[in-house]
Amino acid sequence: MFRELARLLPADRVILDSSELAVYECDALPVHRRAPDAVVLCETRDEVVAVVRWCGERGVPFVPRGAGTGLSGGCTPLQGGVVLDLNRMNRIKRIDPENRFAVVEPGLINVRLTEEAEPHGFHYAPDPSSQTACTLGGNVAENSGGPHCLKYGVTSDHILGLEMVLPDASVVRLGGPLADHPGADLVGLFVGAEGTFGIVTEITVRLTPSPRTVRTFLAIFGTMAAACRTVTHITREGILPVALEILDQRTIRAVEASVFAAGYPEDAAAVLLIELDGFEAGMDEDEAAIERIVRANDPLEWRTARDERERTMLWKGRKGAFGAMGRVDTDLYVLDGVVPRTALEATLTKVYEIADRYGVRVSNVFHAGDGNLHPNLSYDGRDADVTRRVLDAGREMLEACVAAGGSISGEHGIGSEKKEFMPLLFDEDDLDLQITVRGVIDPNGIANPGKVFPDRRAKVVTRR
Amino acid sequence: MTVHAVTRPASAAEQDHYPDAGREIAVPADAVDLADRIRAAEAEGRPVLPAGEGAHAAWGDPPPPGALVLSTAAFDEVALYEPDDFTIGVGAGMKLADLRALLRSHGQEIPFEWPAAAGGTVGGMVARAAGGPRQGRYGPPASFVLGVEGVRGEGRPFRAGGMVVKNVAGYQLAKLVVGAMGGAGFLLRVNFKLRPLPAARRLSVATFSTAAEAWARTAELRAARLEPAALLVLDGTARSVAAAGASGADGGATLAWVFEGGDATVAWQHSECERLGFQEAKSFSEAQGDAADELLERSAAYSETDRLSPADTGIVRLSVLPSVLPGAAAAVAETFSTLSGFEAGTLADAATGLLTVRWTGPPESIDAPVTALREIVRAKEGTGRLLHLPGSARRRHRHALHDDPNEALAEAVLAAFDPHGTFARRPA
Repeated sequence: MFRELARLLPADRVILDSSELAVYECDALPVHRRAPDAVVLCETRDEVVAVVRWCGERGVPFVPRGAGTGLSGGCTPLQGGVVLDLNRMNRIKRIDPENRFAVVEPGLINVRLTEEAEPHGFHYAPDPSSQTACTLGGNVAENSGGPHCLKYGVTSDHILGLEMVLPDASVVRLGGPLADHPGADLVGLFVGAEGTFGIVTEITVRLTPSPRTVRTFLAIFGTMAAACRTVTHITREGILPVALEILDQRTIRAVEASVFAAGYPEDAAAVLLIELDGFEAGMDEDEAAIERIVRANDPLEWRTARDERERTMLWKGRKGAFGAMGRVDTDLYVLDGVVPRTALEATLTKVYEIADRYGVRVSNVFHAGDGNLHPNLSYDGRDADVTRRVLDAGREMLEACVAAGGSISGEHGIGSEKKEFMPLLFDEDDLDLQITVRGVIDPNGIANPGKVFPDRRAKVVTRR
Repeated sequence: MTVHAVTRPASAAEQDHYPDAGREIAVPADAVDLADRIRAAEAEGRPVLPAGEGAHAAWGDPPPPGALVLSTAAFDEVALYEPDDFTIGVGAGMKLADLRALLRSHGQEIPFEWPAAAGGTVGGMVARAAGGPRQGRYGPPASFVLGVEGVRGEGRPFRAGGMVVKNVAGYQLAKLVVGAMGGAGFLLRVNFKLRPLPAARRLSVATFSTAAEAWARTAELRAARLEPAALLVLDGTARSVAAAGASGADGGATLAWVFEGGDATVAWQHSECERLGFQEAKSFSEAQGDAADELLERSAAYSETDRLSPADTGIVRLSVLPSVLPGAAAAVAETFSTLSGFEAGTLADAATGLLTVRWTGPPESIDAPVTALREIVRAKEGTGRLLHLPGSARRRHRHALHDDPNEALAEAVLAAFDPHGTFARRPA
């Protein structure tokens, strides 16, 4: 049956060979795997429409995919079907500096937009750690974050409009570059829907003026508690840095043993990376205030980047942290819990305690200013017992985040990874409502099925 | 626990706006009581209207006949406030003035403007997505709402989002609730992200002989890449926002801008404006503190209905690209100059392209400005919202300015909250 797809697209853009399909069996979360029955490399919206219509007529599931850098199994085709690879839909259609927006296709790599907007004095603010590889379509699907979202907000705050191919193959244009669109905020609803509402074929994004000045600092601490307290004290003072990032000792050691070595002292318990941006005026005052707070929390060291080279160096370890962690063992499970900022220290203590209890290795590198934790569990996925303990420990860590008043995902999405944890946050009524909304938009459940909702609940679909 | 009366007297405004509700407004005592009343109303096929103080009641369509008006008064408490987390969860019935006072006492704010004189509650502000002149700098109201709780159709509780500043668990249903005009259900609680109050705020007001001059300086200010918290071009009666009694009768226009933030940042941006010669206007004044606060508040009030005499007042808000805004504002001014018996003003937010048009004129001639504004929206590829029209014209012109191409999809999604259509949806 899937050979019929070659009638919709040129044959060289339809993949049916099982060895090639294996490439598409998971994203950057290796826990769940399933190869699709077919992959189509779409180049236009009309091709997306044709493929979605074909799937709809046959009840075949479809899953959109960008760079496959997601960390929640969002584009893993759990029920087989067709994967629509959107990497070739990567054009920048318009950059409008005067009105501060751009129109792009979903396969555009995140950092490319900033590269193109920079000469106009603008950038695209959300910057996931994978920004040199991840696509904006994937960012929209997962409502991605990044280190600089502390000041500028997550993807949802930067998406003005979407062109979507809905599961019935109809095309809708939601929102746009205007500040106000009468009617319900469907753009807000569709961002972060993880591909379950259809496929994004065009994105209108907000462009943010690039800062005139950036200052980057590194505070090195002998205890994680001091690093967390420093974060709370900085935000309490009303200072809004553009980034507040913490790496723990195990991450520091992994980084320093890798090509991403940034000169962090290996005996430090935590390093806190602080970045300010804005006008030069006022920067001295904010820097002085931050240094005062850091020094009050007994740091081992305080470093200031004096130029762009030093700034790049301070960031090098943070940006390379996940790459460095990849060397620790064959597999890496990256969690994504969120807690109120004031609960950071207590929650981290629990995270280490849980890891010890399950006998698994955890390291932490996280967006401290947002309270967004990333406990990283390094393990050998070929060992079933270790894998089970890693998953159980991960669940308990997310339970600790929820117990602290937080959430099970800050920026990676629920995907297949955390769908069974949704009842930690939402009761039956809440899940019913979300599943009913899904049923309105995808009554036959063919858009990225098996994601976001617990398997037991997801089957309840209200038909229009 | 506070014990509430089962009903309370309807205010004069509420009696105006909810004529079928009678002289009393039902006040559910708690969420269980509320759910019972919603189910009872559904059993009778009676529409339900959530209501706070009635401050926003004149917005959008008139309420449907026979609507049961349910007060949010019992849900007026702070559920959770952790100043160090810069988040707060409050009952939808909390008075905006109380919320603002509480936050100010901790040096914090939600950067939306709401006119204190108009009163109003959190639920109304969220239902209406009432923002204000600082949206261009800080983003729309929805970006400050972290989570919501409420009771929807069939008396079922709902909850979306949460209490943390980053959260992508499940669909962003809270975004849908903001601005839904009550169509998603009865709000019980709203969780907000907060900002620190700016240490300094500085207002500058320059008047020019012509609107074209004001717009030319606005373009320079934007090109200078400064970061005003508000950047407003005021024409016609809107000039009273910056100076009491100013009417625009002299054909001039007013440019008002506010810088806020740290002392040094504000001072430097102000000096940049001086360097660009902004004080060389026809007249120029500046102020700090209260005067700047008042300008922000008055500019928000400009799009509020006058509860006492709405009969001759029309208010619409157009949205165009900022680059098109000067032309749109000029077209509006031109339109009203040709209509006899009308007096109008425009408040243009140069950062967002939002253009609030407010006029008074003979109610029987209301079709003329609405038709002209529709043409302007079409010509400028914009959108429009009818915020207020007198009496029956509200319903007649509900789609006059902009047909929402996705209305059917939006209605279908909202029906997930409200399968029986109990919560009257009132576009504004």
